Amino acid sequence: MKKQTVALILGILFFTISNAQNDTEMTESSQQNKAKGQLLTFLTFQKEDAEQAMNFYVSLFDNSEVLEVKRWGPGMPSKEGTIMHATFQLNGSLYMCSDSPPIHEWDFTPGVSNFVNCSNEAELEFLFGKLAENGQVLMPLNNYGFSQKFGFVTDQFGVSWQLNLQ
Amino acid sequence: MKTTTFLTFVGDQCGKAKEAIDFYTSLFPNSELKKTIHYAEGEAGGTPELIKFGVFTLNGTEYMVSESNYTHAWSFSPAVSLFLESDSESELQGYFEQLSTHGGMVMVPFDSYETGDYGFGKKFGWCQDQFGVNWQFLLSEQSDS
Repeated sequence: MKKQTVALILGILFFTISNAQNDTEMTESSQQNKAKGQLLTFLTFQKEDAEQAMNFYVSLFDNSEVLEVKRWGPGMPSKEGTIMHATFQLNGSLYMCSDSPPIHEWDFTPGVSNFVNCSNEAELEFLFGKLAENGQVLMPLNNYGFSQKFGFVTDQFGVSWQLNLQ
Repeated sequence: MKTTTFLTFVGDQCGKAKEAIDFYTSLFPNSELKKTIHYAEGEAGGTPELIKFGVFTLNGTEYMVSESNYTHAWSFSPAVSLFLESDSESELQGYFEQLSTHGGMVMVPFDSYETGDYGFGKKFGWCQDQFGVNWQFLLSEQSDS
């Protein structure tokens, strides 16, 4: 896809986001807008599954919660009720996600992944098992020389994870 | 089990990680390269010039990095981007200009997309830098400008 086309599509998408009139759902802890001033990682989904993915990740990690959700309204490019943008934290690290209309040629790649240092083997195996369900194992759990155990997996939503036990 | 965003430099970007980290840490305050481990001579995946594993911080957030000279079908993609919301228009403008030039490109110009009070900040921009990493910048509704 030509660069200009990508820019145009993103521009149209954002123009629509900008004009949305939906109310924002906020949990109590998000009132101070934790995300402001902090560089965070933003995941763009194109299969209307951002909320499912976000809830899945929040369920897997301790100290994790959905902080803010803003939804697409009627007559917008993405399906009504899906995520326009949402903020969540996984064990204290902040993330955002969005359901984009499925118009982009790109999708998730392992180029940017989430690295998790696990505190014990049970945790490593639990997370790896959950993330590998309907996903794709890129490197099975094994000792690759740089740690006790390591695995690289792309989950069912296309997001990549590196799980490590020092 | 803290989660950390991990950038893997492959293909045309393999060998440019140090340059990228130096560029990013020069742009953002409260940023530093904390650690790099290079490949050993003859080690699979890289040469001694390449970073096997590194840790750096940008604006206080920790990132990890690796370079791999294996042939991969993938590289960076806009599906995962780095996002910053701030009250300072000049700060965001500066980041956007630096990251979208020097071989980078503008995906959505950093500009106002609606005059009134809308749900996603006063100004927004999306760019891809020279290394293929994507960035989104958002000027807060609460900003003074």
